[in-house]
Amino acid sequence: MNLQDIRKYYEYPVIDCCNLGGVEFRAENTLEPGGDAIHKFCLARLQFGEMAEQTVACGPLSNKRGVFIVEYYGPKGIGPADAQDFMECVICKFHELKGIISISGPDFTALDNRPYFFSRVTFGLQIPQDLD
Amino acid sequence: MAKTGFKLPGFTSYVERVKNVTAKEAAELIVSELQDDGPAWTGEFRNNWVIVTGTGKRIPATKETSYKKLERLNPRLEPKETITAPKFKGRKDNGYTIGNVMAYRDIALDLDPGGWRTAPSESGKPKENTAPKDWYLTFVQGGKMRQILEAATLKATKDPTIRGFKGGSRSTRFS
Repeated sequence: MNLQDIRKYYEYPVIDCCNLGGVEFRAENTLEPGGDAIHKFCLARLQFGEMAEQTVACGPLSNKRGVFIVEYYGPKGIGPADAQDFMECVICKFHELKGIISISGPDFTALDNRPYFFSRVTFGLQIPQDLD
Repeated sequence: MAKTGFKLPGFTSYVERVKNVTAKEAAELIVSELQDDGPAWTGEFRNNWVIVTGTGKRIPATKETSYKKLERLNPRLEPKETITAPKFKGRKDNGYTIGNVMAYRDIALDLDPGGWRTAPSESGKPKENTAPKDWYLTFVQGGKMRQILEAATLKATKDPTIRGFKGGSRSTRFS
């Protein structure tokens, strides 16, 4: 299980929710989160934290710890329901995944300096070896 | 109703002491690691972590920067200060809350939407970041916090005031 496989494992359920809710999925390092204020989009990224074993770069990675961050940007002026539905979908999907040890959020906020309604949920991960 | 079980003189106080020392060690270690992992451009944010007694306390982000705009462009890095946890004042007082009091803390913690701290500027010039993106979320949820708590527990067991519990009077209880 390499780093890309891990990202794919956690990213696909988010993409499923994006497809269900008509939300554009923007992978990390592909597009700037700017654009039109009437669009809604989602950003998701994976960061690795502390490793239990000295196998960070290669080899059978086990007990890798990290955090998976999902951010939703929706248009203002239509209420929070859309963001809530989207986040509920993501959290429900993640309940079926392996390796989730904590969930923080979702937080909802209307941004002051940008024309979006914003929501974020973060998942603490301890990635098992048999992640398939 | 008859009482059951043993009464071990001083044991409750001993357990309280272990708990308090562990919590204090943990809080101080966590802040020290947050200082090391987090951004330090002027050093002001790094030196404005606080530890207060009680859990779930609100720590307001009200302190404005003392640096003027020009000073912020090329600052002299403030040396890292050691932040200590206050002692508990009573039995009801337990747990600590850790926070940063700088008004711009959400930006420094990468909790502001859009990632202003790490996003390239309008001119396209990359920012000179002193901490990686999402450093705080990774710290809290990425396993480091757990490791620190384990380290604090180990460190606290070596504290001379909680080693060698003997019971008995308060004056002779700890050796």
